Amino acid sequence: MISITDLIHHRPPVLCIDEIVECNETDATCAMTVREGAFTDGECLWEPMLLEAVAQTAAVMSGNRLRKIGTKLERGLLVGVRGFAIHREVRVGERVVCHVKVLRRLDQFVLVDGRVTCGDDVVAEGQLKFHEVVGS
Amino acid sequence: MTPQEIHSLVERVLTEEFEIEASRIVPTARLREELGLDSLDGLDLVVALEKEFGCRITEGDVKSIRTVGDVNGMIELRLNEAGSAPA
Repeated sequence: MISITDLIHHRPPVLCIDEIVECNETDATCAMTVREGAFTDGECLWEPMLLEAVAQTAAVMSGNRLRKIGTKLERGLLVGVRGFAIHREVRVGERVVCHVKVLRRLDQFVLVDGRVTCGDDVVAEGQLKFHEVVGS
Repeated sequence: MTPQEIHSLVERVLTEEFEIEASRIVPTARLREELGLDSLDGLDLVVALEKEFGCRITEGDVKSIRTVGDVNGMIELRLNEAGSAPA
């Protein structure tokens, strides 16, 4: 199984996802266990990190897709967020699962539907738009 | 769907999606220079148009679009190809 750091440029402490559950050209699922650190307040994850976790999951999907065609993701820029709602806090020690699904690709832009779940709870969801800068 | 009906729906997409005043949405209006859309807006425009008209828009379509009239014409072409335009 390919590692996350083979596909995306994020590194600790910003790298927050720790497992690729599933990944294909149009869908990806990654998981993250929330650990106490720079992005928690001691009890809960800093909420913007949920958005970051979805973005990293999308980056994994893009990186994997590009790797298969012999290139790589030089940079993936988050250029738009729409209707991203956070429904509840995530506590240190909880494990969340991030799902992304491609709604549309156009040129170097990709629009995804993102969702973060914790058990049966939908923790956060919304649309994200990325600009993929493809390397050689 | 008549050309006027297509224009009205395109106008609705542009006003609702990008908050452009309807009075500025005329066929000769250039999307970038006059209506202020940029490359980041292209994907949102395509998604909104596909949802509104139920047709598929290609990258080639997008690259040929400069004006509102171009959008109207491209939609009319796609609807005709899909056989959804009335005789």
